[in-house]
Amino acid sequence: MRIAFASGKGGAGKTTLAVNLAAVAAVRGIKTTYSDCDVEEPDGHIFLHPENLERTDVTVPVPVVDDDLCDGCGKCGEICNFNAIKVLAGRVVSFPELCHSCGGCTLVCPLGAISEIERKTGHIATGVSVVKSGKDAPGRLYYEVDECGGEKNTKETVGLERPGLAKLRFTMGTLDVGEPRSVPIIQDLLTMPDESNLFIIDSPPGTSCQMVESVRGADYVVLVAEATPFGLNDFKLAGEVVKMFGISCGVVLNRVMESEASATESSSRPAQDGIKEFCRENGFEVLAEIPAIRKIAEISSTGGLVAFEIPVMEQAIDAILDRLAEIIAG
Amino acid sequence: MKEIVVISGKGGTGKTSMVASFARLAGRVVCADCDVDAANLHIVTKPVIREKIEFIGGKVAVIDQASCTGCGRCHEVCRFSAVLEDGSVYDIDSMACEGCGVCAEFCPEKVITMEPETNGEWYVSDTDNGPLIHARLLPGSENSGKLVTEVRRAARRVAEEEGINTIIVDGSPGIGCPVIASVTGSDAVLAVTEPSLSAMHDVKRVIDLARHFEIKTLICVNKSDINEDITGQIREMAEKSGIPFAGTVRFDEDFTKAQICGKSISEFSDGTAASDVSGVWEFVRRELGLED
Repeated sequence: MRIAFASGKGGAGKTTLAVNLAAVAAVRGIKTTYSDCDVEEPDGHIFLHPENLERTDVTVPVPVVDDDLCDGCGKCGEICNFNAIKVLAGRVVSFPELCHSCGGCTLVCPLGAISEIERKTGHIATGVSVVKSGKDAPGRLYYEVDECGGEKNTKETVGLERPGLAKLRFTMGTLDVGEPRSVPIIQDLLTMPDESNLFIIDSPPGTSCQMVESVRGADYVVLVAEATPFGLNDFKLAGEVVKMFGISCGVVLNRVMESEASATESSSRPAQDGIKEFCRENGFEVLAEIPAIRKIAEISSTGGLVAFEIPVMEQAIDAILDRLAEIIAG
Repeated sequence: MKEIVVISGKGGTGKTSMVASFARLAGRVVCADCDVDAANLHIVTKPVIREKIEFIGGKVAVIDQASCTGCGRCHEVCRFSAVLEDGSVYDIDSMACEGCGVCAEFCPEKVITMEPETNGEWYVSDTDNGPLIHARLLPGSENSGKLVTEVRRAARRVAEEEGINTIIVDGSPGIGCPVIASVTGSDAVLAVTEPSLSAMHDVKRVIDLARHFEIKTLICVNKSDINEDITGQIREMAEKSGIPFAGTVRFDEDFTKAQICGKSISEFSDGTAASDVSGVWEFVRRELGLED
């Protein structure tokens, strides 16, 4: 099962939820992979501390011209829609960073003067994260796990002092600085062979091509919405994308701020209501509501996993995971 | 004319709220919202739309089904899996189509055309603090970099026409094409970060990006007292790299409250965050060499 965590707005809490859910799922004994597809700014590793990372370069094919064969006919420049290849004073000049790797120039060249070389635009890395719960992290975990995160899930309440260790598979992509195109890296990440039962995709923010690429193959999308007017605006945009693909969707309302009387001007009520209304209209289910707690920001700022320290976060993650389990079971 | 681009690497650091406050503090400026994926500045600045322009970002292939012989050549040459094959019927998945035109070029029957695709629209608007150029990219659309370039170009034009000497750009998160389009050729970037390990990681990448394009960079830390340690580390990092430190903005619930009311912090309160933001703007103004 592939679950994509997305949010129109950056900073809505997508990575926080994705890494905590991955950790809790692993501790519950679910064979889990966390895949950081926010390749422009991958952050999951700060929370999941992957070990033994193996790196593979991501490359894209770009044209090279054999000047001895080229007669400067200009056909390559005509077919290129991205201004990546041009004929200037009878000589072909290419701009590899603009190239979309469509291969048109190589196909159209009548003299076979254009071939392709691989150009590095970033890399992907895979490793293993060991998640500690129980004694080491002031544990409140209720689920028994075997020492290396085996398959069993007894769902029994265990003592707070019991140490738990679980492993999960960690993958991430990183775009090189100065490179514009993140989609090829996301494609490489999402087509790697994977044997997990739960594949968690941490999507890039926004609603354009890279976000689309990361959610399109998902079985279920969790949209994380911040309960503010900014959050509402961007949530709707992301919701439109999910609707376009017809993927089932659940929503987590984050940073809900309650004032004493919820009608006061600075309560998050209106944004929250707007998000819920959009959910009702579009058949999205509300999976959890998380209040605005400064402590969550403090723990997250140091790369801590809040699910093991803050009860409301733990309850929210548990609720989401339970719901996902029901969906998986069909 | 000076153009400052506010970026953050990581989203949600308070970039847009800062931009709205700067606009208020600066008096009359042109603002450009280049976070075209998830534009937010209009929520705080309440623009009155003056002009609306359709954004045609690229092209998309269309097969004339009636004349198609089903030879499958388009499917062979497409590298983006955008030509869907169903028996001998071929169709274009417009979401996957990059608009490269290779299928149209190699269709032996010439029944594929490249049609212009509307990807969104952009606006020239008026706000209390001057013109705002903003845009809306259709959900799932491509070419956000191109749209950013359009928005910035319009901002420059409007500033020239109206004799305004400052442009403040709200950049997009990340380091990919929209941000590259946001920062290239600007006078300076202000990186707004938070004291968290993840925001620090992201801001380093965005600083590398600005350096890559040889643009002057300033840095400030929002919610600085959430983690004083990391704030200190960021300040140290800035000093070591010769990046002017524009100041800190302390955590203040008014920040979120202002946003909830659709106001900038400078408009909403005169508390700690509001006075900190003024301090940051003063610093930026001096660094840019903007006269009073």
